Amino acid sequence: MPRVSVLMPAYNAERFAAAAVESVLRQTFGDFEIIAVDDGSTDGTAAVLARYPEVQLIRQRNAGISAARNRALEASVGEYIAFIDADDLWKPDKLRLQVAYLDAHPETEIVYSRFENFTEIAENERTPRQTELLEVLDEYHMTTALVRRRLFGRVGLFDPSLRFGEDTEWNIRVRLECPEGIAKTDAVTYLRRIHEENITLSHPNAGKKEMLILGVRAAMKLRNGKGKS
Amino acid sequence: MYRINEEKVFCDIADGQAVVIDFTTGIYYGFTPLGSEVLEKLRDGSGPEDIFAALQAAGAGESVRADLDGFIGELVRKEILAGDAAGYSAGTTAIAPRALEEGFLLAVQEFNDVQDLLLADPVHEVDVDMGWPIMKENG
Repeated sequence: MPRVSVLMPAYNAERFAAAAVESVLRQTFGDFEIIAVDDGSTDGTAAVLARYPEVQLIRQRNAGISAARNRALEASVGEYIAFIDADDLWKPDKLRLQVAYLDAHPETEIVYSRFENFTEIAENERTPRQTELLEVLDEYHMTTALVRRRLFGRVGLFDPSLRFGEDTEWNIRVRLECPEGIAKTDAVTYLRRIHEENITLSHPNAGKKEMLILGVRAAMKLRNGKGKS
Repeated sequence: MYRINEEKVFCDIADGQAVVIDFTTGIYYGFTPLGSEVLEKLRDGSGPEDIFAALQAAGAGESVRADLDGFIGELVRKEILAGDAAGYSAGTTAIAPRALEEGFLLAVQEFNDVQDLLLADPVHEVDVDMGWPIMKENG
């Protein structure tokens, strides 16, 4: 039984999925399984993923990113759970570093690492926002994390009603339910791809409002459930 | 007139519970039931005088005036509300019964426990209308 399950939700990601898979296959820690859920893609994503015998491919009707992540989790068997989006990359030592951390710290339920944004868009073709994003070195992003499977039993799965921001909302639940089990390492292990189709929710638009409101309401519900003021 | 300071906060009021998020600081605010009700009325155009009259009609004593002014002042200091008390026309409004579940307590609570998460700017492959990634046809 593999120690780590790598979960990859995918939707219309034929352009970048191969690179994502191959970055996982190049890991210096090799005891893992890869479970990809193609969430009803209308391009060649499934065909790309099917080329890799190492990938367990699940195809489903389009149901959203939360549903795809949850389906992958339910099909997985590893003690530790990792995530990769189908257009991103891992650095080769991601799993080695994070598995070592969780093995050495039994009280830790989730260990985050840092991520960097990268792009293959030529410098003279980048928008100002894309250029700005390349300078971000963020923390506590869910997809950088290695998670003990049992943490999902405590905080629950991803909310299938959320069209986006499901990672932020889940992170809020982890922060409130299990603050003592959170750790973070300084290593950059995750590379988030900036491409033409990305948008950022940094601007106060309706999408970001919805995401944050849902996350905060979840936080308040948890707080009220624990009798906190 | 007072208005929600949309340049700094998101405000959502549903089923009598208001949630305000300062998206520039990551601080969020919760309210007592009556606090949510008053915020909703201010958002919807009722002025302090009308709200005070409604509170009195619901059984509040004269001292609620000071509480109301203090509450509104706090919302302005926290930059949840912008504007001022000028410009209102006389009108009428009423306090919803559920808003009095905790009596006439007007309070706002501030929380910073997920401040960094609310400030994070994750890149999402999202079309705000469609949600989950919708790639361009030639992507």
